[in-house]
Amino acid sequence: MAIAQAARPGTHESHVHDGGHSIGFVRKYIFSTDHKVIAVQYILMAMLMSVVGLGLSLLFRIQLAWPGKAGMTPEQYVSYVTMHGTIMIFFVVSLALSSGLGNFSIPLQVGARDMAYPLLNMLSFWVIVPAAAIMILSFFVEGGAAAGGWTAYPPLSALSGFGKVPRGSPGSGMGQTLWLLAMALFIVSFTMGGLNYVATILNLRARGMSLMRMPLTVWTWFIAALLGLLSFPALTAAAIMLLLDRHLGTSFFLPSGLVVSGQQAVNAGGTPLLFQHLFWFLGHPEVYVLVLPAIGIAFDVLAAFSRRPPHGYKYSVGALLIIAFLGMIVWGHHMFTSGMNPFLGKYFSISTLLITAPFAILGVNLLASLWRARIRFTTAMLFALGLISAVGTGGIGGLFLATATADLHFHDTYFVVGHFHLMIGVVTMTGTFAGIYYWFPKMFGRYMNETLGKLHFWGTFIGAFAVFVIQHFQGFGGMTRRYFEYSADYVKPAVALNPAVTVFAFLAIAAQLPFFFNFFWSMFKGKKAEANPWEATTLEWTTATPVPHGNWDRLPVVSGDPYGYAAGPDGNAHRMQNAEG
Amino acid sequence: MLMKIEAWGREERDSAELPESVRAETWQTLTYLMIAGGIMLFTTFTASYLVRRQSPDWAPVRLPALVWANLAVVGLASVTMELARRGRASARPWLGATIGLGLLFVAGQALAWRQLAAQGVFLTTSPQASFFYMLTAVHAAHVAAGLAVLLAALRRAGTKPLGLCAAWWHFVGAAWAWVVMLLNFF
Repeated sequence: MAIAQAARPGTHESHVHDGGHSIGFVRKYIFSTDHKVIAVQYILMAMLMSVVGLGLSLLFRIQLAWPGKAGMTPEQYVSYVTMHGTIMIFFVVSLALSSGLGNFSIPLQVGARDMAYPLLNMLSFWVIVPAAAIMILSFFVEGGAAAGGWTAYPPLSALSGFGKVPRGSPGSGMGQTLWLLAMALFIVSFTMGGLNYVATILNLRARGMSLMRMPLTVWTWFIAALLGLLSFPALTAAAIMLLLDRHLGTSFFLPSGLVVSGQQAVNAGGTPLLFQHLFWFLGHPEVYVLVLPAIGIAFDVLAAFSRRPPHGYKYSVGALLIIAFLGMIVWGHHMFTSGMNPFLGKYFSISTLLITAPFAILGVNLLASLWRARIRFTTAMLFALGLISAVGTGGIGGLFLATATADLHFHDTYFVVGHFHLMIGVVTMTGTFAGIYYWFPKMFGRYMNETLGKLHFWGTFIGAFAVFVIQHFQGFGGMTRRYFEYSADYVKPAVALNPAVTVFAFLAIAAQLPFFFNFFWSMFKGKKAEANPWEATTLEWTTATPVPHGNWDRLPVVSGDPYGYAAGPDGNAHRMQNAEG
Repeated sequence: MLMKIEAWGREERDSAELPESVRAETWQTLTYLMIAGGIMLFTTFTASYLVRRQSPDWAPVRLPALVWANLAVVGLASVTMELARRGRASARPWLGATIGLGLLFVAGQALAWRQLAAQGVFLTTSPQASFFYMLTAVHAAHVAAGLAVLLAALRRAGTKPLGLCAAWWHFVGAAWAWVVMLLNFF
């Protein structure tokens, strides 16, 4: 494949000249500044990290179902749980969905030749590589990987064992330091990515592409990038203070009178709760940073395979903006049991419940998009439909957790684990898979295999739903999270469900094997795809496949809405977004 | 490595081919977003400071008077920056003066650290001292970024507008004013 190597003039009159000098393998596939190559790099990195993240979950699921059979110590157990959460959220979902699919589709959907800053884009990927390496290497340092939970709450995460600070647990030594370092690099990468996304979407849109003509996917990436840019600084500040507490003996978070293993800590007066506030000021918006783009992708995929424009475009955009705003001011609902003033608790409860309203608008719009539609049940469409179901089911659990009085019982139980896995695990990954199956023909010029795809969907969907719905019931039964073993009598009925949960977890993970095989096999051997295989209408389908460097010969000029679907006599009438006349 | 350097050079040429007006807009977006991120960062530290000072072990530290002099220097640097921005022909000398004042500010901050240490006040002496050292260091990183941008701007002064450099520089100055007020009056 001779990649079109040419200048990237910015005006629509300019041409990209094909057949220029060819570039070497390293520049084309490794240190590439092309957004499409970087997107694939991110997706491959996420797939690699998912093997580690899911592998860890298999290990601790064995311990939970059949205690003692996984051959791990309690310290290793909490470390695996910690690293599973960190890797899956920041190095799998964030990389595949936000960094991977975002990179691929933003310039193509807004009609730009590349990101606003291609070099910065390349750097943000190459910062992730050492971050991932450090995260993995932390398993092999003295004391093992971090074990303070993916939320890294002090005092445990601050008790480093360095200098006069006592050691909290094996994993709170060098493992936690490397965790913080890897997370710092992740924040740098994600911030650079976010700057690029916003600059590209605001300033590089094709002529005629007004904001209200952007595909909903682009809207969600735009909002997610803004949320990330405004909320990550809080975690940056918290990480700086945590590092100072760990290594230089300050007391931002470490309280007075702490005795660890008989050793009196010298720190005094710090407030561990402060860290929780700062962490969740990032943590909650981060949920929307990941969930909203998944919903955006679902809107695009639903439109293409139901041959109808998504219902209520304007209302969806408005709902997304309201969710983003509310998402910034509700972080305290993660901390109802921390002893906050009841009035503050009431505020966080009400503001969180308010989010139900815009989310209901999105849910109704997703469902109404299917009304009287001629649905094509492709794998991408199945995943988009699965997303609607997960948003609804996960969202209902959220109502209970948002109510402070109910949360007093549910806090730190498997009800929470089931809820957040449905939202930040199943919603995000069904969205990601919908996006991968949908854009794969544009990425590689070939279709993914549909039979394997459907096997992948049903295994994932049934397995994941069973795991996380059952976990809600275990939480009802009082089963707390992060426990190595359960001995109390009252929790035994809930614990008895663990083998079943583990079997379903195996099923969901085994269902990823056909996906891995399908991805690499289809890349080289899949059925060849034409430029617009789904007869979709957004701009990425107006260029050639495989997409040349610079994306278009002539930049497209947008003449209408992104979703020009209408049921014609043949059922497939559609109008491309850059159609003339 | 050679290949990478070549790629960098090529990229510069490529991105320069975006129309100048579009490139100016992307820089504007980038700068304002970074300022917004910076505001969030200092706001987070402010909130942390206000929470942490409620603890019974809070003991105010007498900050060196030099921090006020440094505030005057950074304020003056904002004035010279503004003069550089407005005066196209005479931009270069004013920009040079701004960079000089910026370096003077950093030196002044380093001296303030030494004065405080000489009084026996170190990072872990008291929570307020921890905040002082940490905030000056974080702020210095923002000043360093500003100085790097100004040095780059010095090369092309008089040909390109300096509005965005000025925006960042004013933000850095305002951030220091904010930190001084916080540490002295709260």
